[in-house]
Amino acid sequence: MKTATARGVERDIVQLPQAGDVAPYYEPQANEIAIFEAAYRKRLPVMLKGPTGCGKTRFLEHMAYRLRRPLVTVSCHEDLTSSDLVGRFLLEGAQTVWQDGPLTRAVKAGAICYLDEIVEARTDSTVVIHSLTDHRRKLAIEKKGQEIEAHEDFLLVISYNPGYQTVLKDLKPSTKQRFIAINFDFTQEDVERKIVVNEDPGIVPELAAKLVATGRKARLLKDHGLEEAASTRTLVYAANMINAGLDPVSACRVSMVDPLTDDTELAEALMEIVKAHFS
Amino acid sequence: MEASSAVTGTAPAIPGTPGFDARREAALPGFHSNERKRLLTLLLEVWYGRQFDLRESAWSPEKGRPFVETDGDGLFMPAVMPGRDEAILAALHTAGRLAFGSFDRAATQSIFRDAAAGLPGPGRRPMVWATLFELYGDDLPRFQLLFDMCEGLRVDSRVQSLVPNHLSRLFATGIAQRPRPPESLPYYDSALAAVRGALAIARGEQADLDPRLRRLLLPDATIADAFRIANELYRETELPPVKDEEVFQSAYLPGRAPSAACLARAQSGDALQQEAQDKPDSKNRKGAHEEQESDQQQRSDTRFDTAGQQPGEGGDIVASGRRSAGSDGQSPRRPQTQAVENGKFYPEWDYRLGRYKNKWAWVNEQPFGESNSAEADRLTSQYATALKRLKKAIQAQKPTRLAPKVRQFDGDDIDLDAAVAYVSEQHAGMSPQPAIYRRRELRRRDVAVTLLADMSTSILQYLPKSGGRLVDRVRAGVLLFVEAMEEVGDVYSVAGFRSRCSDDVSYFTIKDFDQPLTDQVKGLIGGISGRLATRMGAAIRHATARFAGIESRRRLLLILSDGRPEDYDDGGDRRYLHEDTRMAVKEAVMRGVHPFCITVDPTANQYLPQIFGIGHYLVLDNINSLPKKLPEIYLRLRR
Repeated sequence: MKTATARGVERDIVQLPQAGDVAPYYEPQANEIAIFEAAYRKRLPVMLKGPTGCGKTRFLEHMAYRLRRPLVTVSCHEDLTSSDLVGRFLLEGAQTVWQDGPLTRAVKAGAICYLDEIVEARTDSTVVIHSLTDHRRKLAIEKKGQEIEAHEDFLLVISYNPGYQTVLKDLKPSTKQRFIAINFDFTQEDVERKIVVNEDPGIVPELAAKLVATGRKARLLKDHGLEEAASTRTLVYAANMINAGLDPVSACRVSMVDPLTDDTELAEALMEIVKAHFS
Repeated sequence: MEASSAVTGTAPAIPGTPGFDARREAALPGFHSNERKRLLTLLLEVWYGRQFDLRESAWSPEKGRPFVETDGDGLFMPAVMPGRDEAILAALHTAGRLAFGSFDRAATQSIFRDAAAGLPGPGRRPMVWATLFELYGDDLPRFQLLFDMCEGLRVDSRVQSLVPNHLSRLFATGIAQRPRPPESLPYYDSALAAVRGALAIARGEQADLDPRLRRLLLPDATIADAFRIANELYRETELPPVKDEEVFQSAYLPGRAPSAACLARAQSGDALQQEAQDKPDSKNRKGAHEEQESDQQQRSDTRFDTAGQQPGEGGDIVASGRRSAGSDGQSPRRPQTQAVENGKFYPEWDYRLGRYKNKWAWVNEQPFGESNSAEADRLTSQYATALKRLKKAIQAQKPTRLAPKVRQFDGDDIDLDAAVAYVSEQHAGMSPQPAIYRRRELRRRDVAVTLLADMSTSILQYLPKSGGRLVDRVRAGVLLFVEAMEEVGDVYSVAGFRSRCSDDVSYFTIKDFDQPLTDQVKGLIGGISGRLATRMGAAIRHATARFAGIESRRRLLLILSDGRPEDYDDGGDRRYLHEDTRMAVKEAVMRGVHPFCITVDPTANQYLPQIFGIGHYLVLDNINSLPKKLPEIYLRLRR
């Protein structure tokens, strides 16, 4: 979230949008804003599905701003325990102090809690969200023998990227069906152009159009060994690099070819696409 | 070529054998299409959004300039092209001819009609390209060059609409290759000038282009327009006649080829036979392996047999396939008695009936009898470095991969997080459990995996250029896989399958879950070979059943395949076994087994998403990487 506050300064993770904040830029793909607002009105948990770099996180930042709610993001990883989410006792001198985890903070403050890439977390740590996702809207704090009724504005959002990396790590169907699902994909060409221009206003629209055309062609190679297709984010990076003075072909190579593949032949094919548009 | 091999004293290389190709190509500089086939396939898919059949043509250096040819269906690449740019131009151009109507029936018919109308009187013969070209007599090469210039311009400007740098690359390459026999220059230069004009128009600049040719740049121009305009040019342009073959060939711009020759050849073998009769030739080469040949023969016979069946008989198509297989006395109706004990019936899904056919596929589990320890040893030493690297990588990843068990009641290390929590909880007045240790040990029975290899005839296919057969890569892949599995410590089994109709599906257990990896097992892997067909659904059902009794949290069924599910008795109805396999996958998932398909079939994108679901398959289009990739894929999947 772009704020007027100083950078390089510690801030609490629970931050309401301030007066003077600018809405994070988001270009709607379909009716996802309406879906999210409806889900929020009924406080139903939301699941964002889609490939890397297609705008899931940005969408949520934008929605948090629109709904005037703080956003608490937790990036999940395989060693994430339920204490990391809920909280733990810490020693302080001869005393112990309970410290709330980010989920508990969000539940108390009525924030939107975003569990990014939830499938990465161990299943035993994700079960704590179950009671939050149904009509109970409660968080149990086992260690303290307490439970919290969630603040009325609290909302749980998770994201996941259905790809072949997650064959064995899919969410349990019983977990999945507790969520309202919003599908994301790379946007239409004209929208994507708008996004690139908006993310890097220094880029001329013609160049942005070429970048987008290159990216869309590059995505066709996804089934040929590319683990992740060239995302909108990589296109923005390429635009940034061009704007910073690099020539377009090199900018594309360093932002959307070399990071995506180590396969020389695939890289050659990708470079053919780049050169077709930029030379 | 023969002379040189005689000098070195080796057996004379026979054209059409892999050895001959390898020696011939190694001797030539330039762009070796077979090695670079993957790049061309990727590019065609990117720009045209579909796959083209890329095959090797019968071109050899003594035939003159290499051209990419087409029969209206596939692309035939010469083994060597002079350069990368020319090869890419040629592939894009030839695919463009297929995509943009060079073989459009309506347009060619209209050409024939117009030409026939101009002929005098009765006794007209039905018009085909050959008869049409006869009208030009000895001056045919001159007309053909003009016609191909027009048609080439039309196609290339359409290709430009897909590939933004096509015309500029064509022009640049054309300039770079301009030095050529002077007699061909008038044609070459006028074609090049037309490209320059078209390029300027594509860029929206002031263009200097013959107004007659401008019509060809419109998106709705057809080959009939090219023919008409070529005739105008033929009548009105003063260009020297062409007699010499070399001059004729040199007059083509890089990437373009004598198209009319191909068209004519399809119908008659007349004077234009300088172009190789590539199709039958290259087929022979591909299917050189006897076993494969005879098998295909057998398969097509069966197909032919069932093709006569009236449609709408539902499951009877399968039944009729059985009859035909049984009637020739080769296929026993029921398996031999000794096998019956190990066999099991599985249902099969018939999409036409919308239900399962009970007790339909007979899967006969048997020990795999073909062992080849020498081959296993050879492969082990051939891939020794790869194996070493792989083992190192696994060891390096071990601490994170095989995460130590935390919060144990006893163990080798203190779990610091748990200890802090323990102390602080105690301070807080609670009575926590003293589970403050961590223990490094393999997480028991976390993942169980079966590697199921397709052992049908098709894995015997020869690999273009890189030499050897697919089966060699499969053996090496499985060997590296088992070695990697030993290092990882997961429970695993290896099996293979093949089928001859629904009543004879063989399932070979090469290594069972509880069997240790012995030299004998490696010998069996070295003996993996291909025969018969691919009834994948039945094999998946059996492999799923074999997971019973295996304790593990996650179960993975890795299927290694090279083509679509097919069998002799599917009546040519591909969808039947596709649908059955799809159902088998669904059943497996319901039983807690995750099937994942690894295939080397480049066209697999067309059917695997429907069968396995998006994200549950992987197309390996670089076959040579299979041995190294297979263990890597597994490690990725189990993460």
